[in-house]
Amino acid sequence: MRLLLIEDSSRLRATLERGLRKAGYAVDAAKDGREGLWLATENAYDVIVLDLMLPEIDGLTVLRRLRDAGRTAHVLILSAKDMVEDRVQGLRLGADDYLVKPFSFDELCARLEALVRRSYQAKNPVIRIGDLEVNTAARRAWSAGRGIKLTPREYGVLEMLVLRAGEVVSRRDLWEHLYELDSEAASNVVDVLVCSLRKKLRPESSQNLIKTRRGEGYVIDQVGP
Amino acid sequence: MRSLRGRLTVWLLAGMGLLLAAGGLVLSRAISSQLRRDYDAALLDKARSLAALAEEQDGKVWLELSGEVMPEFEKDNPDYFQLWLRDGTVVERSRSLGVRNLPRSGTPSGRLRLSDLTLPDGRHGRQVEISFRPRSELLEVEDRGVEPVARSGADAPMATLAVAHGREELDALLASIQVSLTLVVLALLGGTTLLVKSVVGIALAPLDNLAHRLEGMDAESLGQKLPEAEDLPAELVPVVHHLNGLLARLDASFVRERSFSAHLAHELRTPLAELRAVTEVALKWQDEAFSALDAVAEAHGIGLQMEKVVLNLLALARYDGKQHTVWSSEVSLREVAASCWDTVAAEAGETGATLQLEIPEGLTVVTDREKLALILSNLFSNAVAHGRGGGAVTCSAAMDGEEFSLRVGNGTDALAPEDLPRMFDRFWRKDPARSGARHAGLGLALVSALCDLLGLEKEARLVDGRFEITLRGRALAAPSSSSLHRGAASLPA
Repeated sequence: MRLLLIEDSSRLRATLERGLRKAGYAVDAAKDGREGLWLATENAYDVIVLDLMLPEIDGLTVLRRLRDAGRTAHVLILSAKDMVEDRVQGLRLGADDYLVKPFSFDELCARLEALVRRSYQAKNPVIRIGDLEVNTAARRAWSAGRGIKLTPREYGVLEMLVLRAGEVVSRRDLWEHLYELDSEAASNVVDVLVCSLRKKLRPESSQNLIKTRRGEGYVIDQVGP
Repeated sequence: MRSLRGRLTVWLLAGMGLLLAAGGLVLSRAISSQLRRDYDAALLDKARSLAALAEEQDGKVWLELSGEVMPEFEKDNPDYFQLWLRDGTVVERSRSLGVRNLPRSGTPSGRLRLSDLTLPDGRHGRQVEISFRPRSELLEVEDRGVEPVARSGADAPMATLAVAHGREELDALLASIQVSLTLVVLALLGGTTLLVKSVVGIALAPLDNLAHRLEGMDAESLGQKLPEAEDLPAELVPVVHHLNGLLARLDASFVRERSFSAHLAHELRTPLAELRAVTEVALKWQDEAFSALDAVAEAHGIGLQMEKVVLNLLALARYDGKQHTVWSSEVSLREVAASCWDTVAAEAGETGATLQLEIPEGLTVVTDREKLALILSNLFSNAVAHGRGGGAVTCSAAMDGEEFSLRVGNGTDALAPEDLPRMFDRFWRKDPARSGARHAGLGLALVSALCDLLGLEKEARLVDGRFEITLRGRALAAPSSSSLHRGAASLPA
């Protein structure tokens, strides 16, 4: 999942970038409101983590301009402002969640996961497709009850495909949701990841759960458990 | 609790009650006195009428009285009289007296005596006793052409006449007047009570309204002024005026307090969030390249930043409480300014700022060197951090009589004139985002508190794109040795 972090505290920004990447997110970071607004307008993010007191353009203005521009990415406000009116104002301007500093990193991750699930109308963190089970909260997958060891990128591909099961996901979409803007990953890295994922999902089966739609992308068909 | 309304009501009622009672008493006395005088006058008239009937001839005195002329000496509840000669011989008694006597005091000639007594029939009465010489009558023959003439000769014997009259009617009248007056006074007192209550209520209504408005005020409504309407009583105008001033100052304090709390929360919440995130991420992925040592180093940096904020706040609290000792000594301004620049040299190196020192050699003042150095360090640090990049920071000083001025300036594009009044507020920062951990917005607040402690005046101004802070104080003659002033802001004489 691709995430934009707009935070002016360099120390907090660096720590969250590091932690969220470890948690499997592709993270772009901006140090002020102007840069953050530009990134959010130019790219598609699953979630934007937005500080309110920002240099250049404040967080609420960034949020307002994003919504005015028709951007629907989920926004989680992360701010030291803890007054009820601050939260109400942020949520009314179009934020989806509000977390007050200081915060638990695990709570931030859980709230981000919830927002990602909401993006794909998945209320249950456990998604079952055939004998495949993916727990988006634990970020783990099982095939026929057998745990699958996945790298964060592989898990990212699988999560994206199961959340959008029945829908063709383009290579570009997958790449954008796996890698940051400044990533030097090659364009065929998605194909490599899908190939690796197929092997881990059905090592002994010749039938692929992840199907290739030539020229379009990849899809996992929506079937009952 | 003593109520103004209660006190006014009680005192007014007590005063009015006393006045009414005194008025009633005086009126009662006046009426009683007049009635008694009239009564006594009537009694005396009667006595004189009787005395006029007494005659003397040849040393013999008699009084001829017909019951028809004065029937009051005959009937039931009668009046009484008795006539004596000087030697006590009874000449005549009223028929109503029978053989009984009236008391006789032997009033001197020409005098009269009025007294209360119990009448022979047991009633209360009043008696008048007069002493007189009965008239002598010369019988002249009408044909001689001489009119009969009454005379009162000096040789006639003295007689005493006492006339007594029951006073039950007088007493009843006096009692009735007293009861009436008492009732009138009580009625007036009742009416006065209602009037006083009503008047006090009307008079104190503006005070009640004021109290009601003040009661309804809280921290959120301090900005609302109390109405200074035209119908406000003159006595309350200065009260309301001063209350409005007080409320405005309170409101400003509350706003400053809220702003202070919000800024303090931000200054502490952000490093706390950093600390928590750094440690939690490090603990979550212990085996990763970002080592625990890196996390500890980050945490240490955050701790130092928080420590700086807390120490500055504690210093401010101590300066406010005048808990600092002022050690005064002769201080060379040029030397102290140069040494203070050294403390920000590294920071200045990053921004390219340079110091332009314009303080004459040998310019000394008597002050606390350490605190003056703290002031200059903060001003230099501020100038380097917020001044125009690569610009010169000027520091100049001059003497003016017994006063010196010390000025620190830097180029600026960010500040506006409206920023100047808030510049010395705690946690004030031009950047509303409060970015950057190096400055928390306490530097100029510390400068302000230290200036107060040292008795220095401070002034911030913008001149031609330059921001300048000027400090002014007394540069007294250098003492022969260091002197100590505990908690005093002024310098030694």
